[in-house]
Amino acid sequence: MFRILLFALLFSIVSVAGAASGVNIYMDIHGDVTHREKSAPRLKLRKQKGLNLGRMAGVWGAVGKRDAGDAYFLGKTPLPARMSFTLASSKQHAPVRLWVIARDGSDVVKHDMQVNPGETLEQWLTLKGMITVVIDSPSGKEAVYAAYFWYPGYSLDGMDDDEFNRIQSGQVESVPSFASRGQGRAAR
Amino acid sequence: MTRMVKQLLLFLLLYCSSQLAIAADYDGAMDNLFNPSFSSMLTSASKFTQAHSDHSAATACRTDPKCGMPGDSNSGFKLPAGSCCEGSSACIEAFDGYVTKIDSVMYALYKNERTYAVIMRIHQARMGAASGARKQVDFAKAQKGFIEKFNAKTRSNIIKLNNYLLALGGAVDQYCTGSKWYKRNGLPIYQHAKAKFPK
Repeated sequence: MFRILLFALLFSIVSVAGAASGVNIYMDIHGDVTHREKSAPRLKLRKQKGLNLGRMAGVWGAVGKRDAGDAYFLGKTPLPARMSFTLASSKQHAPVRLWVIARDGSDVVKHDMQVNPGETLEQWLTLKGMITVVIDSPSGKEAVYAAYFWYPGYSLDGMDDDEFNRIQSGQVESVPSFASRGQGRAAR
Repeated sequence: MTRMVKQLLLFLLLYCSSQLAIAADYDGAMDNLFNPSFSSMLTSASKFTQAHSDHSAATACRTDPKCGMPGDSNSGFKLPAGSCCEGSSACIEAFDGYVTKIDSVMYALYKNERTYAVIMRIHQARMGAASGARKQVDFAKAQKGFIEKFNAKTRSNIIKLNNYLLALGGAVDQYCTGSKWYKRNGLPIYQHAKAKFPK
């Protein structure tokens, strides 16, 4: 019994460590997590290969039928943090809805996103406090979804909205080159 | 005693499995299961990151009169090759090769300069919002660590920049004896970088 418990504990620790090195997708289609916000499991956002800014995680899951929903706790932030939420619904299934809930003491802020079958929606939100997402099927029918969460980091939190919107819409000024061959005398 | 250890292990096991949604490694074949896939999300995030970097570098450049001016599409440092070097395809080839490297280092220096300003804003806000002396000390330590890291990276980039400028000067001197390219054109850029970027 003692050995079994020790082995199981070691295995769970190794699994967590292993997940850190790979692509960060939680597959709820293979099992089910609670829909209760208060007991939502932690979904850790991780650095990804090829992504220089911030941390990301994703969930592929199914809700509806006998599943009331899925809830994930994303983390806690003492200052407003800018995050991207993307929700996609499978073409063959029912619409899906995602609630983003930020609890900062007694202040509770909720945002919802809903997508029809085959649609994808991305939303940037600035949130403070404990951040949890709850995903459900408004119709109660089976909905299959992909949800992705990206926190690009401090360098976006410190920007004002105008500046951020320009970057998001791709309307940024750029300098063609910081050093280029120019005209002029190089020799005496 | 053994019973207590068993109970402790069982508790730890249950706690671990209840508190973590374990993200799994998945193979590439499953990447297309959902649209958008995780890799297409990473691709669009990388495009956003590139736009953010370009914007940061341009913003810092345009607040530095030596680098550029707002609205001036001709911003950036112009490095003269001179008629002697321009008359030799080998010299121009070497020149352009080093200019590409200098461009890349200067991009990084200006991009990091802007990122520094934005992150320092956040550090100040965290310090202001912190309640309690302990938190204030922790945030001050974090800020100090950030500045040290920034300066180490910046100094390394400035050394790289100077090495490329020296090499460029050396290449021009090979073809145009006595041009003193580095002293006339490279050294002022190095000195400007040394005075402007470290904090």
